[in-house]
Amino acid sequence: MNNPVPVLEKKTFGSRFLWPMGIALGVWAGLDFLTGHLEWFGSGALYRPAAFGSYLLLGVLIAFGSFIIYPILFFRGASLRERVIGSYAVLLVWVFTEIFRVSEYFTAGESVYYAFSPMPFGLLVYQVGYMSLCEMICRWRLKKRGGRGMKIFTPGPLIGVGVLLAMVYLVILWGVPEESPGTKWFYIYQEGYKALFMGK
Amino acid sequence: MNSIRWKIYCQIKHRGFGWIPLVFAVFTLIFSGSVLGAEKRPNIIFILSDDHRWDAMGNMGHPFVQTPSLDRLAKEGVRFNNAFVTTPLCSPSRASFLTGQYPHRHGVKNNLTPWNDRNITFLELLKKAGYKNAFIGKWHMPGRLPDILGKAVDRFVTFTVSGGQGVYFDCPLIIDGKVQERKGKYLTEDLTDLAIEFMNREKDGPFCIYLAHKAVHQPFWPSPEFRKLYEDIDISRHLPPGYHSWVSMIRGSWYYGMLGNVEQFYRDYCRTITAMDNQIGRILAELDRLGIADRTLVVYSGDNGIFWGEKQFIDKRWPYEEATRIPFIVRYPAGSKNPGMKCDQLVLNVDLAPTLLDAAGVPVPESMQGRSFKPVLGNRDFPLRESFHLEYYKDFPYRVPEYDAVRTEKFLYVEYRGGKKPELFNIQKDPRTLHNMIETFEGKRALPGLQERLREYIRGKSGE
Repeated sequence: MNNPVPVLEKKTFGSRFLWPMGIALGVWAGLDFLTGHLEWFGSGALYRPAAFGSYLLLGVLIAFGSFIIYPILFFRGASLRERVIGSYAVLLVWVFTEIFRVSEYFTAGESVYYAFSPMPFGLLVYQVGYMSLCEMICRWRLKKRGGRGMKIFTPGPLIGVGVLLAMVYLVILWGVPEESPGTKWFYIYQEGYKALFMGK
Repeated sequence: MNSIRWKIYCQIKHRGFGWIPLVFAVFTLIFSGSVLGAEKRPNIIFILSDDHRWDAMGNMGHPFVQTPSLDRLAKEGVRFNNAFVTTPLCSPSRASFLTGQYPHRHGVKNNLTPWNDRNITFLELLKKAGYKNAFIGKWHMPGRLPDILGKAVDRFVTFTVSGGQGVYFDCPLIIDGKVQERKGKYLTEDLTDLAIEFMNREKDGPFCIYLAHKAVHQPFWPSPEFRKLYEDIDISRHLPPGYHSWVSMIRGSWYYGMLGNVEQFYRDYCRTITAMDNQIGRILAELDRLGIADRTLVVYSGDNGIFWGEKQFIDKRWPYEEATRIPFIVRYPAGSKNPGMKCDQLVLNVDLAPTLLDAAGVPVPESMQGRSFKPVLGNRDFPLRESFHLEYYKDFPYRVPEYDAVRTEKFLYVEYRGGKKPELFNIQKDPRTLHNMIETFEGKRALPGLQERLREYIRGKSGE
C-alpha cells in the first residue's frame, strides 16, 4: 500500500500533510471550545440549533473525520504513514483530551483504561476500516482518471474492512439484539476493570 | 379468636346470665375495628420502578403522561413530595430500600461492588415475624444472586439476562432457582401476573410482596397497546431548556444507552410509564377483588430519577433534584387518616424498611439508618428530619466524581472529590440548581452550618 499513485503530483510536506491535518485539528479545537460554551447562545431559540449544529460537526469530525482527511491526503500524494497519522490525528487528540478530563475523578491507571472503553476504543479501531474503505475508493477514482495497473482490492484494505465489521458487531451489536445491543462488550470491559482495579 | 368468643358466649348463656352476652356482643362490635383489628398485621406490597422521575406522573402535574393508577394511589393514600434516594444509582439504592442502610454500611456502593449476604433485609425480619414473602423482579446488584430463598422470601423471581437489567420482552425468569423461558411475555405484565398469583395464594395474610420492575429503564419499551400513545405530542416543548439533540452522546453519556433521538426516547419513556401504571392498576384491582385492600399497605417508589437534558445531562448519579428525587406514594387505610394527603417531609429510601417493620409491629434493628415515617401517615407535621446525607461512590466508567452532600429543605451543599469545586444551591429559589451561590452573601452565611452538618455525616460514615 505504499504510495500507489504515481500519476499524482507529490506536493510539499506542508501542503500534503501539515496543512490538512492542522486545519482538521483547528476545526476540532474550535468546535470543542464552542460546545463547551453553549451558554453564549442563552436558553432561547438559538440554543438548540447552535448545540445541534456544533455537536453534529464535532461528532462527525471525531468519528468519521478520516473519511474526509484520508482522501485529501491521498490526492496530495501523502505516503501511507502520513495518511494514517493524518487520519488519526483528531481522534487521538480527542482521546487524549478525554483521558485528561476523566483524570479529574479517576486515577491515572483508570484514566488510561477509560480509553479502552467501548466508545473511544471502538472509534480507534473503526478508523482502520474507514481508511481501508477510503483507500479503495481513492484507488477506484484514480483508476477512473487513468491510473493504469492499479488494483483496487488488495489484502490490506480488505482485512481493514473485515476488522471494521467485526468491531462493529462486538462493540455495537453484541448483546440482546433488539433491546440491549453492545452490552456484552461493555460488561467484559467492566469485568476487566474489576480485575485490574478492584482485585476481583 | 372467633371460636374462643363463641365458647365463652355458650358458657355464659348456659349459666343463665342472659344479658351478659348482649353486652359482650356490643363491646365486641365497638372494639372490633380498633383493638382487635390492630392485631391484624397489614399485608405489604412494595412496588419499585427503575429511573422513574418524581414528576413524571399525572398527579404531580406532568403535562401529558397518563398514570391513572398512581393517581388513584395518591388520591387514596399519602404522596410524599420530597422523597429522595441517598445515592442516585440503581444498585446502591435498591440495597438501601431493602436494608434501611446507606451504601457505606450495606456495601453496595456502586454498580460494581457486590451484595453481601450478611446484610439483613426487612423481608428477612418480616419472615421471622410470620409473613409470607415474595421477591418478584429486578435484583440487579453486583455479584451472584443473593441467598434469600427460604431465609427471607418464600418465592424468589428474578432475572440475570443483560447484566441483570433484564429485557422487556421474552425475558427468561429464574423462579425459585430454576430458569424458565417466557416467550411472548411482556416483562412488566409477567411480573405482575406472578405478584397477583402470590397475592391469591397468600390472601389470608399477612404477606409481603417486593415487586421490582425493569420498567421504566431504557430502552423504554412499552407494551404493544401503548406503542402509539403520545404520538401527537410535541416532545421538544416538554424537554428542559438545557436539552439538545446530542445530549445523550456527550461527556460519556453514551453508556446510558440512548444513542439516537432523545425526543423519541422521552416519548417512549412516557409510554413505558403508562404501560407500567396499567399493570399497577391490575394489582390495585386485584386487592379490591380479594377484599383485602383495607388491610394492605401499598407503597410505590422509584430507585432514582433521571436527567432529560437538564445541565446537558442524561442518566442519573449527580446530586441534583432530577436524579435524587423519587416518586413515593403510600396507601395505608389503617394508618392514614387523610386520604389524598400531600406531605412535604423529607423522606428517604432508607426509611422504607423501618417503616414497613413498624407497620408490621416488628422491632426495627438499630443497624437500620432510616426512620419510620409511619407516624407521618397520620400526622404530616410529625417531625421526621431537617436534613439528610447524600453520598456517591465512583462508578467507572461513568464520569461523575465521588461526592458527599447535605440536603436540607432549603439548601443543597455538595463537596466533590477531585478537582470539581463545591456547590451550594438554594433549592427553594433555584430548584433546577442552575446558580451556584457559594460565593454570594447568602451562600457565605449558610455555608458554615451546612459544612458542619456534612462533617458530622462524613465522620459518621468514616467511623464504620
